[in-house]
Amino acid sequence: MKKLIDFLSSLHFSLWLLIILSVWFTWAVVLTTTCYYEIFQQMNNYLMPDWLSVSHGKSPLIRFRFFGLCAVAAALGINLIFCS
Amino acid sequence: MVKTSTNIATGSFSFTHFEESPWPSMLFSSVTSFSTGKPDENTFQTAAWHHRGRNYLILGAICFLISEYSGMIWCQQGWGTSGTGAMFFPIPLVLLYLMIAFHIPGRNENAARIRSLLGGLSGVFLLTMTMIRSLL
Repeated sequence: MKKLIDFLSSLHFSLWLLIILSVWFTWAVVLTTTCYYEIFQQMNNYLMPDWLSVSHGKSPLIRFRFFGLCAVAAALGINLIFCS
Repeated sequence: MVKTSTNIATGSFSFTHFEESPWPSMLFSSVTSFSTGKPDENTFQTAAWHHRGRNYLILGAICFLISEYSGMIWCQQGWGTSGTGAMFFPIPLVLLYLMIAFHIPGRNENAARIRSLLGGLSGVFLLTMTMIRSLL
């Protein structure tokens, strides 16, 4: 248990999460230069809970990106709680 | 140009100008980090310059966060939505870059070199992301 807590609160864990998040957002920048630009623009007009219910949220790639982002952000939040 | 409420409403004065506020401190931090020399040289002068670079980087990060918060308030007031939507993504990258620069683990020479390199490239990264954002 102590090892798990040490891992969750470690600086290395937060560094890797930050790198993954950076890659995730870089991927989003690349997507906006392709045909997904309009989808991201439309998402800006809706609240977050509606992102997956309206038509543009049905794209599997956008769903994967969104849930991946939520998962990494949640892990970063856990890291923040344990290290503080 | 006089900043009137009409100018604000028409978007001629955009909140994106606030995002230029961290440029001076981050660029100065970059210059300081690069002009210091080897970060592993354990002299008093070198350490002082590295602390100066780090402090200006923190100042730039604070200015950056304040400018982003002012942008959120700006959008909430309905004064403009410039920089939102698909153009938003390069901005979190700047924040993540700063977080990585402040979270390099280790106290050895390699960690100090990486910290110095990331601090030195911070201003360049900010300018690059601003340019990419303007191209989107």
